[in-house]
Amino acid sequence: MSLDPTTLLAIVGMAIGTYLTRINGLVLVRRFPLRGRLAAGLEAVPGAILIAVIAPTVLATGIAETVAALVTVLMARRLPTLVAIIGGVGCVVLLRALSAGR
Amino acid sequence: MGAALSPHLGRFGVGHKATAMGLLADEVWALAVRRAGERPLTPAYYAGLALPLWVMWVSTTTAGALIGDGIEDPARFGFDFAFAAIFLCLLVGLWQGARRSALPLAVAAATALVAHWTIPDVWYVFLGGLAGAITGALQPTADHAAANPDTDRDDVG
Repeated sequence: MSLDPTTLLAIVGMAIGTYLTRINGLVLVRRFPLRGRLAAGLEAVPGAILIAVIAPTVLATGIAETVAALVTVLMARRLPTLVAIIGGVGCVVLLRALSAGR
Repeated sequence: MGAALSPHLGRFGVGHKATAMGLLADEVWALAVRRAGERPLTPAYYAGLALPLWVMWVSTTTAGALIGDGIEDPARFGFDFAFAAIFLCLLVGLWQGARRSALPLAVAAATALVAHWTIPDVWYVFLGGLAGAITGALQPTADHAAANPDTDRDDVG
């Protein structure tokens, strides 16, 4: 592994940029009263971002990923999180092996 | 992420907030929001959540960068899917019932998918999140959201 100065500079720059956007979120929200529809919209943000990040993986990669995602959700409702994650990963490995074997 | 967490940081001083934002990773943020739904978020809980995760994150990423070349195909072990599985578990924790959560999540997922197919790079994350937030604000149940102190007061009066 080698470290290129340009890469290092890019990482440091991204770190500063990311930190500024996070502080910005706090500062901006303090200027607006949070209630009604604005609060409801803000409340929907965490779930919406999470599902947006994984939507292509879960819905547009293949049948193995989609089925494994369903299994993960069903497990997560009843079992500890770690069990559900391991179960989901195991499920995707199994289904990929099955679909590759055909 | 900071904006969505902000209503729950009432017990945080300025120094706490500045540090908390620096340690804010996706998973830390999701678990903190989930905790805030159950009871008030304290700086101590946040530190106990974020510090071990940060140490693990940096140390295992370093290890991955150093030895990762030895693993030819991460997909063979399903490592690539672990990320999606973690997010799915976080989503189950954030679920607030079909009436409030179903529509924003469905719109966010559909928007992200369409954006993923039509626009290069990772704009689909931003567009999906934005569409979900707008849906959350505009859907009929938004008026009666628990986060709305004004309607609560009207009910009492």
